[in-house]
Amino acid sequence: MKKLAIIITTVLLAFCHNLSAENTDELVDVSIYSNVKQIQIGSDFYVAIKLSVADEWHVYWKNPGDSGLPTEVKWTLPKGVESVGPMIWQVPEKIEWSGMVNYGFEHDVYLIQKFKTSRVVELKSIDIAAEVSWLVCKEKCIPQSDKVSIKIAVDEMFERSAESKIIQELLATAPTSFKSVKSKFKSGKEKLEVKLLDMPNDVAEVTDLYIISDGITDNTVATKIENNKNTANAELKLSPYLDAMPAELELLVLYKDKNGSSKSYETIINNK
Amino acid sequence: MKKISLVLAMILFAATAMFASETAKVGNKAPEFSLKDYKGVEHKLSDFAGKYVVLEWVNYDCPFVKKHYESENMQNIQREFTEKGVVWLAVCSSAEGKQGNFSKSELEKKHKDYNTAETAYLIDESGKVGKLYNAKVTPDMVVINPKQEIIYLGAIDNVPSTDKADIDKADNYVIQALNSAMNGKNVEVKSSKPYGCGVKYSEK
Repeated sequence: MKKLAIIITTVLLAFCHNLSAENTDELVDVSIYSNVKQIQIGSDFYVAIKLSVADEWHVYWKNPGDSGLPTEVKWTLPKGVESVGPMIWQVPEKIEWSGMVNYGFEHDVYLIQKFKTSRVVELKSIDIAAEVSWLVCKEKCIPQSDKVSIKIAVDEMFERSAESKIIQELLATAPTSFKSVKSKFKSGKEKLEVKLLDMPNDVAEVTDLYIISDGITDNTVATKIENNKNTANAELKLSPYLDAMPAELELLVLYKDKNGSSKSYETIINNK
Repeated sequence: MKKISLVLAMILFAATAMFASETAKVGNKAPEFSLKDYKGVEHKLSDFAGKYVVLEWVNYDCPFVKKHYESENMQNIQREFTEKGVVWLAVCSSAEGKQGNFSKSELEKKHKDYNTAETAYLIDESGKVGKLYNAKVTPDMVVINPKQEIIYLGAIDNVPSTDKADIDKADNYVIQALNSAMNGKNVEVKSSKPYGCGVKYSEK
């Protein structure tokens, strides 16, 4: 009898193990939303791709860090869509595992883009399709992709969608874009020094700085930040794989505002 | 006397620590190591002085590695250069029980199925050699010249993806480094951030 119980348990365990190993299709669920249900032709709207990521797994930011691949969206657009704005990413998490540091998302993440429509094309609806591809990792990594689509009605009236509120909230907390003419960087043999000489007015304290340009820094070494009055300096370690330093760097600056709220801005700086 | 030996020991320790921190870097001497291949034969890097050596960090279950093996890209490069006298050492730093750590029979099957052409497939379960070379992902490539200096470090090519269709579009840095150096020319791209899956090191 005991033997039978052991056999049953073993079989059950093996079955469960297989089940968890094979259910990789359920690791990431992709859905698509817009802030509008209906628009007048010629106006703008946002489309958000939502990736719901299974517990303990992660997908990657535009700079994946020490390993991984950025999540990508390829759009199929109808006539009448004039242009698509750059991807608006949420602030990523620093994910430390197996001696590496990655930038990504261990929870639900939205990728948002702004769409502009043309006045001259007459349409009954705007049908947008997206092919989303990502690498999802925990102990192992799996490349995956999925297709999603959305239909937005075109008429005289503008009508918000049910997801309009969440999209507005995400846009409000996404990094702002701040063009600074004074901030710059200097690079030595091993170190990268970033000087933030002008910043958005509400910055009280810079808390961290991520280089968006891939392959520049060694992400396993923590960034040293020094806050001064209205300026901040950051010191980062250069990647041992860096072959040539570019003349411009794209950064994400994380900061606390005067009320202590976490905020962020993206900027491009140069070495001049 | 005791004090002197202590100071000496500290200096020696500092010196080795300095040496160790000057690990794998382009232009530096390739750190020495000795590892057994999966058949049990020991291979020491310095035994290959006088020859070009390629180190390839490998994990056959990593989708980035699969891209280069299922397309036969990696085997073709291995074959092309080992035929020209290059020593090609695949190194597996996956710890016991982790992805990519295969038994001898599994490896025999993989090598037969993939028809690989490396000189030896080295087992680095402790991760010591992987860490010595700062290998973070698979694949990660190192090219060493006959003087045992590192002449290339990093990615296999310039298109980070798991898509086999990208191989034809990519510039292969390992081929470029070997061809340039073997023809007495400068290696143009000396390093590039490797792309891939994290090396499955032991957590100890």
